[in-house]
Amino acid sequence: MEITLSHDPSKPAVAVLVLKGDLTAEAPLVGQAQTAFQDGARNIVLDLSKVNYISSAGLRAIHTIYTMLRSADPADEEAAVRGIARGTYKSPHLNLVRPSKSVSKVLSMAGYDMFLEIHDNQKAALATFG
Amino acid sequence: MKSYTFQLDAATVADLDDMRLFLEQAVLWLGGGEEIAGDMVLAVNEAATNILLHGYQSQPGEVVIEVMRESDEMVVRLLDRAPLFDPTTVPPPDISLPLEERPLGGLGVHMMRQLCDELIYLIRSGGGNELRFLKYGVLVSAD
Repeated sequence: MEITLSHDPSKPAVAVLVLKGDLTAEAPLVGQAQTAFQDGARNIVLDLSKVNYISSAGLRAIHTIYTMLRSADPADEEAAVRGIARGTYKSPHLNLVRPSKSVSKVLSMAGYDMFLEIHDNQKAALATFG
Repeated sequence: MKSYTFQLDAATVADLDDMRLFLEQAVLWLGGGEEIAGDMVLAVNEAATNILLHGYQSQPGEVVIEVMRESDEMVVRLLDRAPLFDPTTVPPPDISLPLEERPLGGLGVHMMRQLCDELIYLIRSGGGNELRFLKYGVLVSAD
């Protein structure tokens, strides 16, 4: 798995992680996300368009990143509690770009598509972070 | 009946990439099509990861993957010599819970169940586990 970390100069608090290959290990992705977080990123775009397969370890990595971003925003926690009850909550700090058919299937199987926005391209994903 | 076998006497997690490649190719060679190949790769990858990390506790061990097709049925047999463990007895996770209320993990067996039509556990003669992953309705001709 290759992971490229970058950010849009006009949005310093948003990190873009482009993944390439099979997302079947937890540590490399979580490590890169933690690096971005330590450097000040509070929002993350995960570009999955070049990921062939995602395993449960990959799901755990996404879960860990989601929790890390949530923990830095107490207001998000309140919104989640209210929104989840209504079924309307989506994470304001983590979104995904163009998962393949196979990856989408796994995300939906795990119920992750209920909490994470999925966009067609990086530009649309970035636009959600003001 | 046509089948393909991949046998490793001392497999570790470093071999998972090769196992996935073999499986994908074998299902395609047997006429399974891309969706069935993808589902089988994901399901078997979960089981094989568990065998290597937990069954063999990250020590090298025997893993055999056999892929076969019988009329409209695609079958993958995954064999090991690790201590006995039946993943089909693991209770399903509650995926309707919000992420923060869910335990981290527990999704591997759920994926194995969801991605195939039937998951069968057997104890091998001489010790070890056999898991059978079945997919029905394979339409593409292998001939």
